[in-house]
Amino acid sequence: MLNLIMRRIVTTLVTLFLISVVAFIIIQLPPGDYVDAWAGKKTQGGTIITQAELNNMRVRLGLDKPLYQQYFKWIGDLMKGNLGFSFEYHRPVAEVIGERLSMTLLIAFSTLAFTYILAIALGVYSAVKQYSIGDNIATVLGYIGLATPGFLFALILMYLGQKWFGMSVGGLFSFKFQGAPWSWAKFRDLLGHLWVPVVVLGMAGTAFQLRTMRATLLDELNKMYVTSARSGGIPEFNLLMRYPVRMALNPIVATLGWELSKIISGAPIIGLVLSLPTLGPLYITALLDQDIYLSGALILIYCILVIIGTFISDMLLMILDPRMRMKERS
Amino acid sequence: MEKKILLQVKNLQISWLFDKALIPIVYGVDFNLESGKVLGLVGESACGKSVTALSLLRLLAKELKIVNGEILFWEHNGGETIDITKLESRGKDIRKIRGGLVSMIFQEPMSSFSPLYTIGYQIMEVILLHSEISKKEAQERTIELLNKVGIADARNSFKSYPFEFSGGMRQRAMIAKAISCNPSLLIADEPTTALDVTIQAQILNLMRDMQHEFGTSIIFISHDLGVVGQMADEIAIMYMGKIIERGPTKEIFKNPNHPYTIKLLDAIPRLGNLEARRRLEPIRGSVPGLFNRPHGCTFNDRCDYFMSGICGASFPELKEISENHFVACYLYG
Ligand SMILES: Nc1ncnc2c1ncn2[C@@H]1O[C@H](COP(=O)(O)OP(=O)(O)OP(=O)(O)O)[C@@H](O)[C@H]1O
Ligand SMILES: [Mg+2]
Repeated sequence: MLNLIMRRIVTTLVTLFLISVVAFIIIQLPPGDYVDAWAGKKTQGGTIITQAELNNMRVRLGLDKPLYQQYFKWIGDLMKGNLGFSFEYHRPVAEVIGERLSMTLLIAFSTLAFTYILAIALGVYSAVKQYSIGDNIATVLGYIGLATPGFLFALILMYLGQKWFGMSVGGLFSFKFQGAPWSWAKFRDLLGHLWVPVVVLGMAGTAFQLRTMRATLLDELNKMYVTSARSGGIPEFNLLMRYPVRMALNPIVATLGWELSKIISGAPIIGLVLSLPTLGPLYITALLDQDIYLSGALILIYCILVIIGTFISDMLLMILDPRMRMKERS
Repeated sequence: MEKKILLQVKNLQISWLFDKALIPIVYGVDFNLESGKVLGLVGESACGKSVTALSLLRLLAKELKIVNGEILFWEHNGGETIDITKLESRGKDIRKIRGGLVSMIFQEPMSSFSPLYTIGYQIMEVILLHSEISKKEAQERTIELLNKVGIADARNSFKSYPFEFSGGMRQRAMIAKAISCNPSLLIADEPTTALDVTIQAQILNLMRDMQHEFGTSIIFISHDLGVVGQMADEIAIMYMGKIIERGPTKEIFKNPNHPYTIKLLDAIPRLGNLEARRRLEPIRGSVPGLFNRPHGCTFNDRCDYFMSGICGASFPELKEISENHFVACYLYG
């Protein structure tokens, strides 16, 4: 186990390095740089800017240097734990991200938990009660969940929330709690808002994993080892959980990292639509403004999250399935 | 010793619920089993041996239904008689019987243990369900059992996973699990079919030893009359969901009556046949599918003694032609 963790850390570092190179190149791909984007916005507002001013600004921000030098400065700072400076916010990137990171993590992992708890529970029910009314309802809802784009669902929820309850379902806090210190009431307010992005982000994944769980479990239920275990007199519920269900968890646990990456890549758009105080909206504007250090840091954070997701998934698989442990040992 | 009936199956009928129709699979099976005896159940593939076996413990798939008949089980120390067909298939009463009074060994040793738990866990689980002993004691008992069925280094094997065992070892472990609670009946559904010949002989010997030691009754299922001949006190021959001949093993081998039994015996390679360079005679034709069950005697389309007007009309009853020897054929009365 320890061995595995060590090896994982090494491969993670290598992956991160490669990603940082690719990310940096991609960020630079759109024509122009931060100064052009900034000038574009300013001139639209009627301000007149001279070429000399622009050049000055480039020198100040270090954007006049060749690309590889910019990269090494960035990566060198990163090594020292310095994420760089956001041009747009005139603050260190770490500060800009800080407050939003925790909310992003909260939403991502709540969505993951929501997805798996619901998918497993409904999947087991659907398989055990195949073709029952409940199973059919779950199937229909599943298809709707798979076919509806998240942002559309978010818009519908916002509309309905406004119309029926007269409340705004956007954001994560009510107006009066924004910026307020943490309290029990603020936490309750957070929970009251959190379910909306969680449901929106988790809907497609839940539907997909539910289908997988149901199909795998239906397969497992007919296997010999289940009948064999049943012939020993094990009570039906224990039998179900210990034998076929645990076996059927394998494929959905194996895709946990992938599921998390889907949640993360869906998050910016949903964050924008629901105006969440998360990294998502920040990420989109940073890319548009060509705020390179900010967007670079965000891409790295997203990648780390996906890597963590994959790592959790591998760990869980090893706990669940002794065959994985054996493979790892040899 | 006085004969004690342990199990009596009367007119057992099992159908497959297919698209709202009931397709018969087992079509009236009758047999008795005495305490401490071995009954061999023989028949070609798909004749309904496994379905019959599973029904005795109410382990049938959801789409298979017992539509008629009784399965009477005598609980000897308590003296109660239970009709297993009347029990709830997912209920508490049948669970007490499963693994406790009646246990089962399956055809595929490769897939009858879950790969997710150790062999020891899966045996111990049954012991803990059926007796009031501590985990520690159950573990010791499991190791003892593994030792008994001839698994080397039982203490370490307890912690092995099924995929670390060979087919033969798994079948030994399966036997250990099956006898773990001293059942009065063991149902062995083709326990050696998936194994190669030397391992097969070892497993048969093991089962015979266990049977002698514990006096367990066994229903031994196989499509191989030769194998059953070595194990059984009594043999029942099954064809398309019906028992067509039944009797003491010696009698069946010496004096087979039903044309199908005769053909089955001819199909066993024997020294005499080999010396005479006689070709093994396969049985003409093949078993009709579930959907084309012949009218009358189900064997009539493959039988050399087909009598028109008689064999096609209705199924012949099982008749006792000598002591304990029953045949269902119009050739005999
Ligand atoms: N769950 C099921 N649904 C539908 N039909 C089934 C089911 N199980 C068994 N059958 C059918 O019942 C018939 C008898 O099957 P069974 O498994 O009892 O045969 P068998 O005598 O044990 O054969 P084998 O020697 O191959 O194990 C077969 O035609 C089979 O296709
Ligand atoms: Mg079978």
